[in-house]
Amino acid sequence: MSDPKSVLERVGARITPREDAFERLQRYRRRRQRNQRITAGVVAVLVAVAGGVGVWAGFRGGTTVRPGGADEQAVALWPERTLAEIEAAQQRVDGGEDSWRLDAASTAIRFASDVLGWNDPMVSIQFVPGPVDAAVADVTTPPAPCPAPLEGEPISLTCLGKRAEVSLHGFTGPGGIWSVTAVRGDRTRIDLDPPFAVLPGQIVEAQVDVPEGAQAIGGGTFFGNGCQASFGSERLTESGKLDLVVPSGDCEVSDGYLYVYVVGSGPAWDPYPSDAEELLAEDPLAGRLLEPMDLTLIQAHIASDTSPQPVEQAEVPEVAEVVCELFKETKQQVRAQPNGVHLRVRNALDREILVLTGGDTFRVAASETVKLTMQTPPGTTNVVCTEQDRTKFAVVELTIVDPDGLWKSPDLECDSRDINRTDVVFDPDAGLVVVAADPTDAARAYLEPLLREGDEVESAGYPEVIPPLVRVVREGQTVATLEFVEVEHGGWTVARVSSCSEFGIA
Amino acid sequence: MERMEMPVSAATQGPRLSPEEADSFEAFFRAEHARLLRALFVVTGSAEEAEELMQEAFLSVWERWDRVRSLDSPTGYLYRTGMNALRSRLRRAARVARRIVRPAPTPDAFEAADDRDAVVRALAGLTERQRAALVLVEMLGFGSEEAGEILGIKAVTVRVLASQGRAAMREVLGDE
Repeated sequence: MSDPKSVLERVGARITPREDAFERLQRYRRRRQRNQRITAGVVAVLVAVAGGVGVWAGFRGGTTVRPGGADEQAVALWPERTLAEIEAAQQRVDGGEDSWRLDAASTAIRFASDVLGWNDPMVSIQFVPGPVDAAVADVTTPPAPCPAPLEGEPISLTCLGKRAEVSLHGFTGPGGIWSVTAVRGDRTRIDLDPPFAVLPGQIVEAQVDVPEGAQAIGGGTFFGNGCQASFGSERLTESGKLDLVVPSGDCEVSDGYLYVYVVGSGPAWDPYPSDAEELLAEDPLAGRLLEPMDLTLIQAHIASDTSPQPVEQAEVPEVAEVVCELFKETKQQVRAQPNGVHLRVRNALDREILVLTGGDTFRVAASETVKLTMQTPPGTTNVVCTEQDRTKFAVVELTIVDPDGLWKSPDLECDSRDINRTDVVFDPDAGLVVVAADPTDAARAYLEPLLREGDEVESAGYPEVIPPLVRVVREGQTVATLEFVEVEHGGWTVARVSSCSEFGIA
Repeated sequence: MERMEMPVSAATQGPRLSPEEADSFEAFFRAEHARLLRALFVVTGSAEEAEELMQEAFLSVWERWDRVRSLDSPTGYLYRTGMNALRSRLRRAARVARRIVRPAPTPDAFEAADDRDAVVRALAGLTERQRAALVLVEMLGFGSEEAGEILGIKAVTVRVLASQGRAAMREVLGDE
């Protein structure tokens, strides 16, 4: 037998140290330092668990809860989250540190190398015209030089290049530092639209395209007052859907981020972690170089309870005043009016913006103030000021109160598969048109053969909304709604009927 | 404490360093990382885990570099840190396994290796502690006292583990 020393050295020679080993260590150290607060949180929970007083619900698909975290609203993902942190970073850069923050492309490159762990990333950057500094960086790594795969065999994952679309914003004005606000990949998608509001316990779906031999992982981390909660999804080894379950009941979190990514080889995290560490080890912003081949990472915030809150009528204004200015997040209350919810929106910027209100989008010119009326039910909704690329920069969380009970829901109370919709053609020559000054009269006349004793025909939505909306309530359930058009003589006629199949319209 | 004499393999020998360079952490890293990585690879059987343990060990040294560089043997401290990181992983693995809240740990890469490879098969027959003792004593040239300090065990235990390891290897490799 060869002597043990030479045998051991022969085995040891099978691993080749990386040429960039020291640079990788430097990146690892930077990330560790940045996450000192997170690490401290983990330790604190471990101590609490040892004492038998901690909340510990961490397992795959579950949630871990840690003390710590920010009590400010977040506006970015990396390197800082809140405006206060970004302003502090700006001061450091003004003092001569980290000058790369002043360049959007360099910031995207740093994100790719320091956070994603990509080697030799390249960037192509496009600045987005709008009221704030915004840019989208196309970050790629070149594919490895590989021979073409044999027929019928998949290409090796190590041969594939990587790509991510990194959104950046400058929050401290022209010439200020850049921050990463979102990342989107080609193989991953999170089904959540602006303003990225989620509810505790909500399941957010993520779609993944997983190449053979790779796996997909999702999760998120949310922050609140003195609390931080992380969760992870199941792993997928083939293309499909991942459920991201927003933490609920663990702590009062307010905002955070969701992620889903594809990794090309084996477990990319500590193989022997404790639970909290395992979840954090999978979090692309929590300290490990995961080297994902594809990543989607978005901000999300917890929406408030949608049930109406008891509010003193006299305290609540009839018109909500919304000012769209840079990175403002505010809360307001407004009292519903007979024809809807009234807003006065002022664009404080020098460019046209978009305002999103409960499914409707309005354009507001530079420095203009407009009055809007929303048909949004009582509860909480968001009014979002955005740029053309739908990146939010101001959000007003609006609580609509309805002490007079004006709102009557037009939602049909039956399975969506049982709903029939009938468009009514306005044809006076056919002699079938019912026109009435009161739309409920027109509705009764139109539906007369189908109505039963006890059916209630009444206005739906807000009572004075134009055009009007009428519903039919049978045994406490809304079974039909009618939409109207105005005809020449000032009356209303039915334009469309939506009904549950039990109502009897075929 | 006597200054520890470390064998330097041909692979890690480089140009001589100036005193300033030798004093820098980067120079220390560049001089030592390949050997530590290979040692950890032999012990763990996993390239990925070896690299992670190496990073953890060097980061720990870096954070204390002002103190560590003045030690008689910064290299001994480095290896002690690396083996500590390995031990704490093993402890965590045991704890997690008892709780049964996660999939089984990654199998020993040596066990999964091609069994036609006699050298790898020989190592697969050793426990991780035996491999660690052999690596420190045979591959890196530490004495059993120092290896015991690094592993946190008695010198006599190191000798027993190394002896068991040699015997197991001999059984598999025979006259190879």
